[in-house]
Amino acid sequence: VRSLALLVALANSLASGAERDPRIVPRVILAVYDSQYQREVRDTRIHQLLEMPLNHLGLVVRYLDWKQGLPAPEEMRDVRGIVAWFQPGAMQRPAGFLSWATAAIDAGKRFVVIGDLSVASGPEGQPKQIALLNRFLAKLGLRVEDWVPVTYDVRIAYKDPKMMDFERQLPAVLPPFDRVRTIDNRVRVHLLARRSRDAGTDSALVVTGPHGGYAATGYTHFAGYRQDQLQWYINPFEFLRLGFATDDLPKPDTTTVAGRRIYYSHIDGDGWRNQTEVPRYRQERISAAEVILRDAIRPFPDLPVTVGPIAADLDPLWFGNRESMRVAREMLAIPWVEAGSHTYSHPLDWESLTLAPGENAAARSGLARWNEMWRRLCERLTEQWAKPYAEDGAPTLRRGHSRLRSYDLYPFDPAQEIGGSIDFINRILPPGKRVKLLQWSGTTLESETVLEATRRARVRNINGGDTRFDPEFDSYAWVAPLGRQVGRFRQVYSSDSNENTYTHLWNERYFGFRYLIQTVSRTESPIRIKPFNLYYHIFSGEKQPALDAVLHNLAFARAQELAPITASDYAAIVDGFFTAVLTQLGAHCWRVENRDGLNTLRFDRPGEHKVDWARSVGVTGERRYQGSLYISLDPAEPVAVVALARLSTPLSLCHPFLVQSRWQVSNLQLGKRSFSFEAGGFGRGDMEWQVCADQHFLVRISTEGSAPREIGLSSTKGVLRLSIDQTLSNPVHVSVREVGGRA
Amino acid sequence: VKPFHYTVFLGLVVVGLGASVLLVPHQDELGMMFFKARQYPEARRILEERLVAGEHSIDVLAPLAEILVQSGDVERALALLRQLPVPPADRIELVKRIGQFARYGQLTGDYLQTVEEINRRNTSEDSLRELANLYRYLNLTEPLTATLREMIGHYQAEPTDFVELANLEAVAGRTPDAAHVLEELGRRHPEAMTGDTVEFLLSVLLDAGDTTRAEERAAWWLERHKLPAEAIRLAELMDSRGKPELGLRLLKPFDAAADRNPALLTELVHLQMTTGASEAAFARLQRLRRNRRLPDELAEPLLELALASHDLDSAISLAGEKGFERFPNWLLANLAEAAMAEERGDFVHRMAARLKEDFLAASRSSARGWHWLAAIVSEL
Repeated sequence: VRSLALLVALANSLASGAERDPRIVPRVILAVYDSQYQREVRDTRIHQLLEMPLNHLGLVVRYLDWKQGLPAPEEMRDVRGIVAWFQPGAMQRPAGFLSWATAAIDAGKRFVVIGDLSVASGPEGQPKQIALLNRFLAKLGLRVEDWVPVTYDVRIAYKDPKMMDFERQLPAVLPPFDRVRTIDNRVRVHLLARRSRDAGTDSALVVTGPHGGYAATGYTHFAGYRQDQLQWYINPFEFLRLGFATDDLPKPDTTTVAGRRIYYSHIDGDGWRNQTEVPRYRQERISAAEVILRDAIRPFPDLPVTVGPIAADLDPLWFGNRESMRVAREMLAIPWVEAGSHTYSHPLDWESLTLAPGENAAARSGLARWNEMWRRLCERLTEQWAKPYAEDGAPTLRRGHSRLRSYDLYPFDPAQEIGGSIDFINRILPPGKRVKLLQWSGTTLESETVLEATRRARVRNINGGDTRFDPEFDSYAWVAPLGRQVGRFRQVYSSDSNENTYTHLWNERYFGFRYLIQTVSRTESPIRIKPFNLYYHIFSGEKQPALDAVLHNLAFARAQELAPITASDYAAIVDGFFTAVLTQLGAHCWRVENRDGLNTLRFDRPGEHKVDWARSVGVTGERRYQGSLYISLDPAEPVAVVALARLSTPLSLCHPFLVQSRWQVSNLQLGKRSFSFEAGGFGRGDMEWQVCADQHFLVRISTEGSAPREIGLSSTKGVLRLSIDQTLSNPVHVSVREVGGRA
Repeated sequence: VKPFHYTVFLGLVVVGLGASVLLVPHQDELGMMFFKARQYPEARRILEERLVAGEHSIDVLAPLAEILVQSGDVERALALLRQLPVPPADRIELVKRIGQFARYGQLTGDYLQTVEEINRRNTSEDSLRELANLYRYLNLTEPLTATLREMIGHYQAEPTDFVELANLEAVAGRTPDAAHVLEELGRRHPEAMTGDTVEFLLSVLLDAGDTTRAEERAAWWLERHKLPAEAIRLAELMDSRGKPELGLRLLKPFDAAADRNPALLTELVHLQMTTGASEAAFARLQRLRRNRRLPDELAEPLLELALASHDLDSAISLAGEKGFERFPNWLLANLAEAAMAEERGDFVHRMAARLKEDFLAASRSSARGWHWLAAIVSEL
């Protein structure tokens, strides 16, 4: 039936005269960087500042070190555009790069240049190979002239209010700049500087045009001497939207499911065996893990959480004991707790471990092994399993004395860190439950090999990013992108920072994690750019203020309209963002496939458009929110077709659809005056359906192992509100049948 | 055992009991004891009671503020700290603690006030720098200017501090002050005087009306950096500030090298034309052309000079030799006008035939020469 529906949709799409042949919508932005100055992707300004807004615009960033060779046009079929933000004046022989860039624009790729193009400058600051540079810039409708190092008599002659003064105003003293003129009247100038009221000295500092955009060095953002002082002058969302022409692009969305903002939570196992200082538990001398279990997990069955213990904290051959194991078994058996792994020995510095085989070699040598055995024995004899200190927070390691890993009782083995820890934790899980997530430890800067190991172990991965957006980190610049490209793989960043950044690495201000709410609020409005992620460590159960902060955040989450999901489901959504393929089937019609766990498409400027139900397949609902149109896709449909129609277009069929739901809704089936679906989630299953008219409905809810329940409901103003009891084991099957008009 | 011994024993018991009673902690000690034992709820209860009872001693306020800040009640903790009775000598430590609490509470305004107070009480380069960072971040220009002035006035300061202050002074229209700051930079950090800073210094000197000093400083710079590129840069600057004759004087020492340096020659000729020394420039370019050493870049000024000197033959021959397309349209229009005035219609026809519609489309002008050319082109 689904295939037939898809065929019908395709046929409908093709029937339209304005429609084109199917083609894949390019979503990749090639980020060109210079490894001489930025050794790793994460060091680039593109990753630190631009990738998040690019992701928000539905774009996938692929990094390319230009010194490793530049791709031919036929290798860039999925590339929508190119962005370059180089170190000023570093490229000594730019001819090859500029020719490639020029050819890329000729091939229809958009090009966004921030700062200069790194073409080496002469003593006057002016690029040496100016003719070459201008040949490229002419493609963007620009021409660079002289260098303006003295700016005190330069004033801003025009400032586009939609583009500039986004988070702060330009400084009184303007940064020096290359004088750039526009030579194409299709280019829009957003910021124009002028010396001494002489229009002949005009310089375009921020522009966008039909082939991309340009922003002068120093005019994008403020970077203070202190590391946390970053703020945008330009609106990066607007600049990149215009530069890469994303208005028509449906955005795979990672913030929303079933019309609601995603909530997920995960806990790293650090501090599992730490004895709590929380006053009311002091007499009992219980561990931080036990406190988290009692206070932050058990009372919140409506808020799922993924817990990733460090296997070494549980394994008796390392530092585990009966008590740590008991708490782990108990915690991981809870239905709303998802099992994760926070590695075996908690590597702190993944990079060094990967790059320094010496650590292994030393550890594996006979003498080292002998020493290890003795040390282990001595430590066992001399030390009770009292309080080993928090690893992430206070790196005062009781054992190991190595900064590379928290526990280095045995040699570092990447396979054991990933597969080994997962196997160990799987053994203590109740039947039917498996580890779903690998929660990166320490620096969270893993190698490609380690990421590949998670793939082999069939688990998702998460952590890193450290998103903050509050008065201390007062900018979108501190909101991390979705993840980090590591060779062929992607590390998925957690959506919010954990308590470490709020407590100075667990050294002070233990209440600080309550400020998370500011980040959560500012990443929701005026645009929703992140889910609500409550991410912390077990050691938050050690101190009362930290525990209070966690509970404060949980209470806040409870009061919001959210769709709680597990952390591994979120990671699957992000993976889907990177793999999703959109194929344009016709005007306002796209096929969406390879989307993994991702089930929301977003249109930011939908205008008067809404879902065209007759032409769409695998779509369960739509919701307008903050000017965007969020479209829910059916998780049961691996290939969906999303078509839009004008609001004024009379739609032939009345089509009930989901507006919003706390639970995920799938397998939507429409019948004559009825519809049915499956639903599952956490907490009470509140949901809203748009129905054709105000009617009485009979709702039948059935679940495995219990008798179906039937309730009568009426819609009001076309909206049917449903609430499914949270005590029901889910998923549930729900059928809704119209039983007559309202009396 | 004698009565004396009983008496001594009894006395010891009494003393012992008395001492024991003294060892029992009083209510005012309990709070601190609980605090030190990290039993914060108990400590807080007792300290709050003492506060309500009107006790505002350091023993009550300080630990209570610490307990409050740990629980996240930063504003109340700050209020208590501000009430602390401390001697002036300890005030600075207290203000630092207030600043730390303000940061805990993400209260940037309060934090700024404490840094200002610390700076007032104990000024140092570090405190001024912290203050400057905050003012810069908060875009507070006037306080930033004052702070940089103080830093430069009393401490070694970094070259970037001088340049920033000079910029702020200049932006505010205080160009003599800006010049003074840059001169000071040259004295205290001579290594920081780059082409850019010298250009900045000359600009503010010229804007401040101190032409003599500007010329001196330019000459001083070129004495140390005998590079044509630097000379061109400064000459251009002089010209842009309405002092082309100064620019010309700066280029004088490089005159001999100009024949071999097209950029230098271009600037030299431009300045000669601007200052009324067109004849010398024309002669020089003619000589180079005769010797087949005229750089391409100089063809345009030479054509302009030829027309200005009414040497139409040279102009026509040059245009023919270099090709009409390489000259700007306004110059071609002037050439056409001069040719018509000399009744050289044949030449104008030749020009028109070469330029055709492209010229018309690209060069709308009200010049008479353009109209003639346009009329001829349209007839072709």
